[in-house]
This record gives sequence, structure tokens and C-alpha cells, in this order.
Amino acid sequence: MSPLEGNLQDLDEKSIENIVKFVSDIRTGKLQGSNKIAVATVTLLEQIITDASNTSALFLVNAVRATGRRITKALPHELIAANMVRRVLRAIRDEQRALANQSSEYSGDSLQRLVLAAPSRRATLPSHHDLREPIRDHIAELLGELEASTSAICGQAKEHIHTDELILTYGSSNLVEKFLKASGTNKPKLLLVEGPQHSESAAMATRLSSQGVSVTLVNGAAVGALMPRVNKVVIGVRSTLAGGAVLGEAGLLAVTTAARHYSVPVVVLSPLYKLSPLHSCDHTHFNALAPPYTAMPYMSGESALTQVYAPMCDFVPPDHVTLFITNLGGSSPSYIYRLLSELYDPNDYQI
Amino acid sequence: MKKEEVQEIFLKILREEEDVSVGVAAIKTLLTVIENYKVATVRELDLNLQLAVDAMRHCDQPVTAISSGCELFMRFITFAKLDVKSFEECEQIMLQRGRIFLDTLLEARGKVAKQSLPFISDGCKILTHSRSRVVLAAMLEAVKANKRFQVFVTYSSPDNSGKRMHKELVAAGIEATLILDSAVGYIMEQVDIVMIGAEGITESGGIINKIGTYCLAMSASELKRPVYVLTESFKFSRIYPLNQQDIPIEFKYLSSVIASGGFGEATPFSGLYTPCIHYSTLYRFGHFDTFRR
Amino acid sequence: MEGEKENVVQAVVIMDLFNNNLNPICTENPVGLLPVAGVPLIDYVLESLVAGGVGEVILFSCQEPTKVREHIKKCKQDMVPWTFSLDVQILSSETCETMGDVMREIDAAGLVRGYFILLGVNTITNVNFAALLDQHKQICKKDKGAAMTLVYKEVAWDHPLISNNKSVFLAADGNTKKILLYNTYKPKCKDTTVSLPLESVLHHSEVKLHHNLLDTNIALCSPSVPPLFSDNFDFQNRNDFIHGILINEDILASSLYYTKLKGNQYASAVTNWKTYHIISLDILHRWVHPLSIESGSFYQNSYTFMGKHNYIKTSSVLSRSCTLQEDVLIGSNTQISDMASLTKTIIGNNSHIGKNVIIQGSHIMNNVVIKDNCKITNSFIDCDCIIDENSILDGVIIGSGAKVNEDTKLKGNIIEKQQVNRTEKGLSKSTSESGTEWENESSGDGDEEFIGFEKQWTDSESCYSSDSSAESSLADSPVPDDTNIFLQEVIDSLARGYEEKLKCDYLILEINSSRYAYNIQLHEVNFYVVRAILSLPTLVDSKNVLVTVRDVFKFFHPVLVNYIKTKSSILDCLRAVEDSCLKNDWLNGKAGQIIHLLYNADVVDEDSLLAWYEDLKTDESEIAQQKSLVNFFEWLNEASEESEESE
Repeated sequence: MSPLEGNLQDLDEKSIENIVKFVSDIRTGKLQGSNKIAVATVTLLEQIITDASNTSALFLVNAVRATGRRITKALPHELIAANMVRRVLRAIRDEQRALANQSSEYSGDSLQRLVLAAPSRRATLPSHHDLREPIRDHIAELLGELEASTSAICGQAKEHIHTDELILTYGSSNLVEKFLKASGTNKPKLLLVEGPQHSESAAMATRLSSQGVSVTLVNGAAVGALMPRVNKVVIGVRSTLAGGAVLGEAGLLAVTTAARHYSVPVVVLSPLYKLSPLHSCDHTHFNALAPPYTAMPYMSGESALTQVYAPMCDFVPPDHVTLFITNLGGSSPSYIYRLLSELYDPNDYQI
Repeated sequence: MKKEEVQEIFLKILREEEDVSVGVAAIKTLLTVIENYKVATVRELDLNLQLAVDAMRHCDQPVTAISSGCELFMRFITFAKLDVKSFEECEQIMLQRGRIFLDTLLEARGKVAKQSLPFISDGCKILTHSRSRVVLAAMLEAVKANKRFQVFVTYSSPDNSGKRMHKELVAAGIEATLILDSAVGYIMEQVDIVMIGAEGITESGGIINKIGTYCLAMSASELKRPVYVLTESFKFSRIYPLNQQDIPIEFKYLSSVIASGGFGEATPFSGLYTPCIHYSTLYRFGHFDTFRR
Repeated sequence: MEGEKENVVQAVVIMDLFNNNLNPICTENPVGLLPVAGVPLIDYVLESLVAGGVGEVILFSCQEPTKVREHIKKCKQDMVPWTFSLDVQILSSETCETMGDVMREIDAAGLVRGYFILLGVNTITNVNFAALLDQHKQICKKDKGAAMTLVYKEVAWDHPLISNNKSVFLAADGNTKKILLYNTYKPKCKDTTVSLPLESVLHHSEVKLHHNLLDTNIALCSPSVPPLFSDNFDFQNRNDFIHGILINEDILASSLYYTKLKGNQYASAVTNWKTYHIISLDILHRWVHPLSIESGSFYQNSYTFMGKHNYIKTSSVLSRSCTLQEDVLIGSNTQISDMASLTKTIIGNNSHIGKNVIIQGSHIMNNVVIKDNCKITNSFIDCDCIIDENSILDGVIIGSGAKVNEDTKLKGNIIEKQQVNRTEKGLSKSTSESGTEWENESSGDGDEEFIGFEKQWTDSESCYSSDSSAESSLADSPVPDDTNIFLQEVIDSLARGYEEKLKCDYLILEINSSRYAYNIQLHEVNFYVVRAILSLPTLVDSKNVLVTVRDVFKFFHPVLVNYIKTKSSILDCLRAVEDSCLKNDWLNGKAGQIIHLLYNADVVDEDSLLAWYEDLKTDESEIAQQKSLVNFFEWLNEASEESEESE
């Protein structure tokens, strides 16, 4: 079951149809929001597992992995979907191990296990058991976690946000919005820096101020000037990478660089489903371009003659981040690799 | 069993199999020792192996990889000592495990090369130090994947092993330039990434590698160039050096230099690359996580 | 889909352009299969329809319908995304030669249930069709007669997509968006005036004039549209339809609206090689997001993005020393050799580009071999071509399977397989115009050298006439010009009308329909109608020309009055007289008498006559010296003085 080689059997038609619908929904923007995408992915995988003709672990792993490959190929920028595939794969592997009476507490292809478990590893696995029932339990658990992740993060708001603190955030993010609302009586003062989508930032500012949070909407250019006064930077991200780096909305790097320069702590809200075992080397993500109309309207005559570079996301190095807040609590960037190895099987880092 | 015999086997493997690294050769030697020198008890076997390891440490080869490889081997094949009844059975299991272990190690380089593929992007410039089989394998893999890149290789005195690396790269059709060791700082601003191998990984997260690596890494850190260390996981060593002086002397000098007693003035062969830079990258390439905790 | 067929949004895609702008590449293959940035047009269209909420599509194919069918079948086998949510019907009819025929066919087949979207296969867009159609339905609630809402993309007036297309001038009510006036202009048109009827300003509180609209070839149609086409056999294409509706708004009880696409929505139509190139680059630049080069291939993104909008398939092989400057797309298994330099170029699969080749602004399809040291600029090279060493191609369009020999230098030619090499010199003359259309604005200075780049643009217009007989007659006539054909047609119908003593109303209708068919401006119509009257064959044979002219004027009085109403039209008329008198022998020296006849018939008035006469003098026109004319104006002056005195 090496991740790199090995031909996967093709999926049946119905599964492909489901995948295509899922992919189309995301591409056309019918499905938006990281949490919704995560839930949709898990539901899709559950469907595929339920429909699987063969219930052996190997078959299920291959089916889920084939699905994952199709999804990642079609949506290379939706890291969350790939993460969910890895989580489900992990669930299947855990079940399989439990069946083979191996300790599942310790995952990974360690030398020790390699040597000790060598005979059973090479032997064919008992495939008569229907793994689907326990896997479905795992998936239900996962769905529960996804559902609860926002509230779990917001539950920690009071620990991090104190009365009269000046908080800075960048762009609009549902999670940050809820997080700030959850600070309850510790009403902070908020500086909301406009992201690439000005209207969304403005809408978020309106919603927050109607909730009694004092919000000031500022332009991105003002970040450097305001940063010395800020007590804390709280941001939501697209994805958290292995090693504690972060992929965020375009323009985020400027904010975190300013924060680092003035030694303002940067708190990143990242539910576990956003943790991705990807390294900072994958240029498809850093070079990815957003549609150019985010930068310039097609109206202008120049649009046909110029090349517009509107980056989709910014890469923020780990040393810019002070703290990650996940469902499980706060953790430092250097601890992310540990969380990753708990969440995913190293075999699945590359789908 | 004679010390010389073991050394003979070890050096023969190194001579005959061009592509094999010192660590793997050491493990192969140990396997041969188990097979060839029949003993009756586990204790004897243990003593034999330890003797063999000691013999190999005095072969005028870099010791770091030998010691970490052998340590690993000893640790894992000897796990079986207590839970099996007869000694013959025990020996058989040890041999079997040893072979599995060796096979996995031999696969490791290819795996590392494949894993490092995404790190070499099309059109990038890479700086490498000395000659490393893993780095070479990774670059060959990248060429196979139609990637276009340019490599700068340091001469890496005193043994100028960079020359050989350069030759091999050029033979593979890679655009490679040989540079002086002292030109590392000059060239650093042009390169996109630094990619090096390692002789050993310390528990502190640093690496032990050919002399000059520390300088290279500091220069890279100053100019904020990412440093990637490609290494197989049998190179993880159980040492925790606090500074350059703290590295065991036999890691730093060839045994012949130590024997002559002249290491006070001689340039150390290997240096420590302290963990300050990109030490998460070390874990990236480890396939077996055993040593981490 | 959901059982309620009523709610499914229907779209009609017309698979042909009914012109030869994209020849010779699209002579054998349907336009829908022409790849734009590596993906056939039809795939873009279908995907955009699905994304836009359309549930049922009728593809109407006139050219090579079997190929279209095969393509759709293959898509279904490959489980291309749209096949899951889109119901595709393919209709075909080899006899249809215009869009009007297609609409009549659709009406006859009764396939359209209600409101529907009408678009051409050449449209590339990311609009939300369903929302647009809803908008149209809202309009229909207010105005029962609303037949069609035209969809436009507003761009800058200097945008290359406007300057390389027939540009549109539109006047509309500012509040209701009802179209009042619609003109299309040929590219590089020198027209500087626009006449807007006074009533359109009087009856509407706000009138908007647009000159920077990009026709997207999308129309939102009411159920009344196909019957309208059936009822009016002279509607050949959408422009006919629009003009027809606008002119006869009351008779047909229909009206037209327009809508502009908002901010992020992109839409444009591939109409010729230049727009093809511009749109290809737009796709590479992701303006059409979420539509992209991955469309139609199950979203399986096998392209690697290399910065500067260069995309390569992972299986392609780039040599170490080749440079991709910007906007380059390279398909799978294509090889680029040493020192090759590519800019704004799209290369298909399995092609081979030799050493030191320089390619700019070109489109190279699959299995093409370009040997060393070639230089290719602004060209289109179809599949399986071979370009030998040291060739220099500029603005060349090469059909599939052709071969270009060593050291060839070509400029603005079209090469097809049959006329391999050697013969292309003779060919280049007859076809060079389409080749030059290819010229790319951004490609620098070479453009101006092209002979006839500007004037030969008109050739594409003739395509709208579309029936082959017209084209063949076109070839014989000295100037293959729409206006000449128009003139000939008007003369024919007038002659027939005169002989058979037809009612003038019918003649006016006939003239109008010819006018729309050839897209003739109003002032030109005035001019040519008068010219036609003065060129009737009866005059040529007549012994006493003046008597016949009088009879003719008498007979055609209603026609004349219909066209010659305003000051400017009178001047048109007089100019026509001048022109006729100079060109037609039988009227030689009789200008004064003819003007007199017109004056008596109250077609022309005194002031205009005097103004015209002044013009003639200043222009030193030949006929200004003609005795009859001088006499006439002397008489006129006296008469006017007399009348002044009498007052």
C-alpha cells in the first residue's frame, strides 16, 4: 500500500457520478465554506464506502484513495477535501489494525513495527469481516468533530481575548467572526483590515458592530502604522501546513510580517480539518492565481493586453505564528507535525 | 573471529558495490557475521557483533554512519532474544529480521528521492555540498520527471569529493557548476534552495556532515534560503552534541588520523550542522519515526 | 430532471456560424470542435451551460452533424461532468443555411417549451444563464411583447475585442432597457454620424447610447421568437431579426431589450481568427473562471503552472535552453527543442518544435512538426502539418495535413492540403484577406505593411448573405461588395415591380429586407434606391429617356417619398442623381431635366437643391458645368425671386 506506486482499481460509475457532482458544486461555487466542504467530502466518502461492493480493508482504502486522487486532481487548491480523505483512510486503517490485533495507538511505519509485525504484514489480511459498520462509526465521530469544531474553538475565545484589548484581523472569516462574538463580556476593540474582497470585509464589520463589538475598518495600507498599538492579531486561514506554516488569504503575509516586526502575537484559528500534511515546497499552491477580476475589471482596454497576477493565497512562514488554536486547544507551530501524525497515517500524506 | 576478517568483509563490500553507503555496508557485514561465525549462545553472538562493530570503526571510513547503522541493527534484530526458546530459532529470526531491515534500508534512498521531487521545482537553482548519494539520486529522479534545474556543487576540500559529484551530475545531463568552498556565500544569493545529504542526524536535530556544511547552512540561513537535508532514517544517531567540540572525536576524524595522534592540527572531516536551521526538514525525509521519541 | 419539466431551463445552441471567417480550418470540421486553448468550443459551451443552471440543451448542427454526435457520445462515455446534469439533444439539418432557417426548423419541431436561451457555439462565458433568463421573464411581465433580451458585455471602447469585431451601436431606454436603435458597423468603419429618430428621444425620459458593447452572441428569448422567425422568411440571422423587430415593432407587436453583464461575468464570442486569439489568451489569463483549460477533461488538471501564465502538460518535454516567455500552453507529449522561444502561443499534443524556432502569437494543433530555425508569427497551424527548416511564416493559416517546404517565406496566406506548396502563390491573392485578419495588434510593427488589411475586412460581411448563388454572382461582379449586390437587387426588384405594376408598398418591403440582408446604412439605402431608379433597364432601351424617367418617377413616387424625407436624405438623393448622370450614358447631359422632374414631384426642395448646387461648384464636379443644370438653376433662382416678390 505504498502511496507512490500502485495502480488503483477504477471506481464504479455511480461513485464517479457522485464525485463529479461534488467537484462541480465546489467549482461553480454552490458549495462554499471550509466546514461545509469538509462535511460534504466526508458524506461523499461515506456514500462510497457504503456502496462498495467489496468490504475488505484493502478494497476500501483503494476506493477512498482513488476518490481522493480524483478530488485533489480536480481541485488542487481544496486542501480540506484531501484532508478529509486522509482522515477517512486513517479510520479504515485503524479498523483494519484493530482486526489484525495490532496496536493501533501507535501509527506509522516505524522500524520497530516493521520488524515485529513483518510476517503478518506480508500475509494477506483477513478480508471476510465487514469493516463498514465500525468505519461508519468513525465517520460519524468525524462528522461530529467537524460540527463541533467551530464551537470548540470559540469556546476558547475568553482565554485569548480580554477586555479592552485591541485585536487586529485580516479579511472576512466566519470563524474569526464567531470567535470574537464568543468573547462574551470581554468586548475587545477590533481593527478589521480589508482583504481582497472589500464588500465581505465590510459586511463582517457591520455584523460585528451590530453585536456590540467596536469595529474599525481599515485599509490594508494602514497595517504597518497601526500595528504598534495592536495587542493581538487573530486570523483565520485557508490551511495549516506541516511544519506550522500557514496558507492564508492573499495579503496576509504583509500583516503577519508587520506583526512580527512589532512582536505582536499572531493567533491563528485553525480547526483540525484544516491541518494539511503539505510542505512549503508545493508551488502549485503558492503560484496559484485567483481570477484576475479580483484585481482589475475586464472593462478596461488593458485587460486583453496585460497579464494580471492576483495570487490566490499567501504563504506565512511558521516563525510568524505565535499560536494555533485548534479544536483541541492551543498549540505552537513546532507541535503541528505531532498533531499531523496523530490525525493522519503517514502512508496517506501523499494521496 | 578475527578483527581483520571483519574489516576485510566490510572493505570488500565497499569496494565491490560502488553504490552502497558506509552504513548499509556495515549492516551487511554484520549479517555476514551472523551467518558465517556459528556460535552457540546469544551472549556469544552479541559479543561477536560488538567486536565486528568495533573492527569496522577502525577501517579508516567515516564512523558516524557505521555507528548509527550498527546500533540500529543491533537494537532491532536483538529484540527477539528473550521471547524464543531455542537458540537456532532465535538466530534464524534474527537473520530474517536483519534481511528485512536491510531491504527496507536499500529501498530508502529511492523513497527519499521520490519524496524530494516536489521540492525541486522547474527552473530552480540548487546548491549542494560535497557528494551525497541521496542528493544525487533525488536529482536524477528530478531529471527523469522532465524538470529543468541548475546545480552548484562545492569542491568540498580536503578530498574534493564535489568534483566527482559534478562529474556524475553532468553525465546525467544536469547543468552543474563546480564552485570553490569559499564561494558559498557569493553564490548563495543566486540559488533558490540548498540540498545536502548527511552522515548522521543527532538527537538534538542537527546533522553531522562533511566539513563546510555548517558554514554553508549559516550562509543560507542569513539569506533565508531553505535548506533541505535528504537522509535515510538509519542515519539517526543517539548522540546529543552541545557544540562542535562535543562531537565524539571518532566521528570527526578518520581512524588513521586518530591513530597517528595528529588530529589536534588536522582539519576535522565532519562538522556539526547545528539545529538552528530548518530542523523540521530533517523529519520530513525520515521514513521510520522510531528515533524521534 | 425533477419531474417538473416546466422549470428546466432550456438552451438552444446553434452549432454553426454560417460564415467562412474561420476557414479553412472549419470547412471540414464543425466549429464546435475547434479547440480554443486546447479545449473544443462545444465543451466550454456545455460546461458553462451546466454551471449557469441550464438543464436541457438542444444542439442544432448543420455542418457535419455526425462528428458532433460522436463527440457528445464520447463525452458521455468519458463521463465528462456536464453529462450528469444536462440533457443534450442533437438536431441536424443539412439544408439549413442560415440561423433563420434553424429557428424555423426549431419552431416546426416544437422543441422549445417556453422561455429559452439562444446562443452560438462560439460563445465563451461564465454567466449564470438561469438568473439572466429570470431577468428576461421579469421584463416580459411588464411588457408582454418582449421577445428577446440581448446580452452584452461592456468593455472599454478601445478593447481589441471591439475593434476586431463588428461593433454595435445601441440606443435604448434608460429605464426599461428597451432597445430603440441598433446599428452594427464593420470594423474600421469610417462612419462618424449616427442618426437617432427624434421620437425615440421624445417618448423616453432617458435614452442611453452605447458604443462599447461586446456582442456575446447570447440572447434570452421568449416563446414568441421561433414563430416570429417562421412568420418572417426574410429573417436570415439575428441582426435581421433585430432590425426587423425594431422597424416593425408595431406590426409584429414585439420589442427587444438588452442587458449588460455585471463585473465578474465574462462573455465573448469567437467570430474570427483575431478574436479567437484574444479569447484564447483570456482563457489562459483565467478571466473566464471557473471555466478553464481543464474544462471538459473531467476537471483532471494535468497542467503545471509555470508562472507568467505558462502552462505545460507534465508529459511534455522542454529542453533546457528553450524559453517560454509568456502565455504559453503546451499539450501532452510535445517536445520543445533547444533555444526555441515561445510567446503567446498554444501548442497541442504530440507536436515537435525544432531548434531555434521562434513562435509568437500562434496556435499550433496536434501532431505538428516544426523543424529547426523556423519563425512563425500570428499563424494557425492545424493538425498533422510539417513545416520544414528555415521557413518564415507570418499571418498564415495552414489547413490540416499540409507541408511547407524549406526556406519558404509566407505572409498572410492560407494553405490547404490540396494546394501543397508551390501553388500557394496564386492562392494567396484570392485569400490573403482572411489571412491578414489574423494579424495581432500586440505583435508590433509588421501590421501596417499588409496591403488591404484595412479594406479587405469587409469580406467577412458577405458571409451573411450565405446562399451560394449570391456568392457566385459576387465573384463575377467587378467589386465584390455588399452594396453592389444590394444595388443590383434593388434594380431587379424595381424593374420587376415596374413591369408588373406591383404595389409600391411591396417594393419598399423588398428593398428593406435586402437592406438588412446586406446590412446597409440608411443613407446608403436612400442613395442606392434613387440610383436604382435611374438605372432601370427600361431607361436604357428607351428612345425618349426623359419621358420614361418622368413615367418612372411617377410610378415610383411612393417609394421615393418613403425614403427621401429628411434634409440629409434629399442630399443623398441628389448625390445619387449626380452619380447616375456621370455613370449612365443614357442620362448624359440630362441632369437638369431630371432634377426638374424631381422638383416637380416634390421629392426635393429648393433649399437642398441650392445647397447641393453650391457643393457641386465647390467640388468642381463635371456636371456642375452641364448646360441643363445651369439652366435649371437659373430658372429656379428666377422662380424663387418671383415668389419672393409676390409675397
